Amino acid sequence: MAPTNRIGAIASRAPVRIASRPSYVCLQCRLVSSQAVHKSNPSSIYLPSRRHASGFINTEKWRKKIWGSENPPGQEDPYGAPGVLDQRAEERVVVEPESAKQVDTDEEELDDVEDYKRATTWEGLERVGYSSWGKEQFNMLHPFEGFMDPKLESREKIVVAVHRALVEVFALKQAGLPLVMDYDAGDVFLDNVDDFLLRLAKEAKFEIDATGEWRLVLEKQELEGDIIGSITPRADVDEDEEGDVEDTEEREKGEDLTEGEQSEEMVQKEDEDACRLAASSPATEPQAVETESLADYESSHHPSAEGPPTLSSIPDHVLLPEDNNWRNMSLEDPEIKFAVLKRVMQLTGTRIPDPVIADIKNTKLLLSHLLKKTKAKKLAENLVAGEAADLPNVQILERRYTFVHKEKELGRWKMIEQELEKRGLPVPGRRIRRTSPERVQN
Amino acid sequence: MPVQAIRTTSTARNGVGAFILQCKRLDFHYCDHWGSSKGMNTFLRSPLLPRFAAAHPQIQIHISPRPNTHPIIRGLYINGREKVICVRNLEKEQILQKCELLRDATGEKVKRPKGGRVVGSLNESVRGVWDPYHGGNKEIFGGRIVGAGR
Repeated sequence: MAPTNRIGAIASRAPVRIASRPSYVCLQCRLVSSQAVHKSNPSSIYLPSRRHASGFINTEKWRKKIWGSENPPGQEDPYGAPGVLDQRAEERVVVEPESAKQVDTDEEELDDVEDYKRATTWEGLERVGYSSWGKEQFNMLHPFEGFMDPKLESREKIVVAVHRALVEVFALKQAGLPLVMDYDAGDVFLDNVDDFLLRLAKEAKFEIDATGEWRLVLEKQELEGDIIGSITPRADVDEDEEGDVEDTEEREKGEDLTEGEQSEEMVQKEDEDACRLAASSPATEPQAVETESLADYESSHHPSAEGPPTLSSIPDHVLLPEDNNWRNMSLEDPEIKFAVLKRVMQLTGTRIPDPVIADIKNTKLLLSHLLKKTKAKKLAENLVAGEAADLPNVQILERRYTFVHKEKELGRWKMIEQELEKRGLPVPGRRIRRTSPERVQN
Repeated sequence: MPVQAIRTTSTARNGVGAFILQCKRLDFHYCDHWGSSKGMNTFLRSPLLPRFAAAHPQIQIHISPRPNTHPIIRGLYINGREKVICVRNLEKEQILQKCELLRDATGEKVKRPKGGRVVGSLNESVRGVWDPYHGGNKEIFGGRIVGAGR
């Protein structure tokens, strides 16, 4: 009988060499011949029932050669045995019935609680995790407050900030203290920020001494105490509740170690010193931060917690330093440069980019970077400040001129708005507030 | 009887008495981002625009951004029509030329003179329109007028 299919036809015309071990035989031919042969003489023929390399080749030998060891990693028969995914599936089947049993026990426990009825549908249940979940409530309760101060715009304030940073850094340096400052300790420490800043302007001067180095010269010594006190980091003893024990232990250790290092001026402010010196040692600092709770952190470190912290209500030009020697100071020393730039960034609220930091060699360059005017990004800002804006026949808009603008000019907008509202249609120019699913449910 | 003069009234024409500039408003639209608006932005920043605006207090100048589009100048006229010129990739002097073009235009649609003519006019022809009955008649074939003369 002539075979109807093509494979069968080929098989009949060109019989497969079954007696010798085949170099390559396609699966179809093998299946066909195996069916034929099995019926006649199953025992005499070798034909692999599965098409795996491990069936033809001694894969173990080659795996040992490749890995170079007697026990190559991986499965024993990577080609023959079920794959990793299949094995894991088998394992999961074994594990699942056990976990299912645990759930049952939890449910049984819950049923014992009074006034609890397990829900069978989701109606009336609190919905969690939808697209706007928590965002609105979160945003209202926790409006975003950045850690940096708002950027200073006034030129005089920037000059005052740079001068103040220099004074603080040099005060610490000359007192022999590490150049570590607390961000806004001045708010708590200083009774009168205005007075302090005025005194800085008048009394803090810089001079080059005999050795050619810059020195901070203060007319009154008590100002030095005030300066250092205003930048001393302090750990909040009263506000911490949970982390208190660890904090006090560290502080006690700090006090014991550093008594010998205290200078005369600091005798009055023992606690603050101990805190600062303890904080400055690297081991204690991270721990002190970790044990503060979030609320304490917000209240103590928030820049705007007590109003505008650094610069005051006195007119800016009054606070400018009287002596201008400091503008020529070099910032080559990396420690001083880092401390000054860091403090300047905190006070001015501007971030100085790294390439600019590398280029700043002296105070003049620092000031020129901070004081330079940024180009207006939008043309409209330039136009509004230009000549054309003064002319009576010129109108400059900062935003796109739309249908609403046109109708307002013509005087038809009020009518259009009323009619749209009457018909319940959306009014152009008004933002549509999407309601959350929770509101819809209620 | 002496020849009576024909009573006529003077036809009202813009410019005979007072001249009213037909362009009442020019809108300048630019884009902060697109490169085709570079010339327009330069024009707006330069003294060319304030000078033009000061020279024509009867034209309302309106400047507003039109983001992500080519810059245009739109002229609005007393007859209610408008003319829009796209000034993409033009320099500021060329843009000023376009402003002057719009200022000098009326709002009328730009049309060719009818009938293949070269010049169109509101005035009547000075020597009269030709007709075959007057002037330059020739007598040929015994009195019959065959061809009208010049």
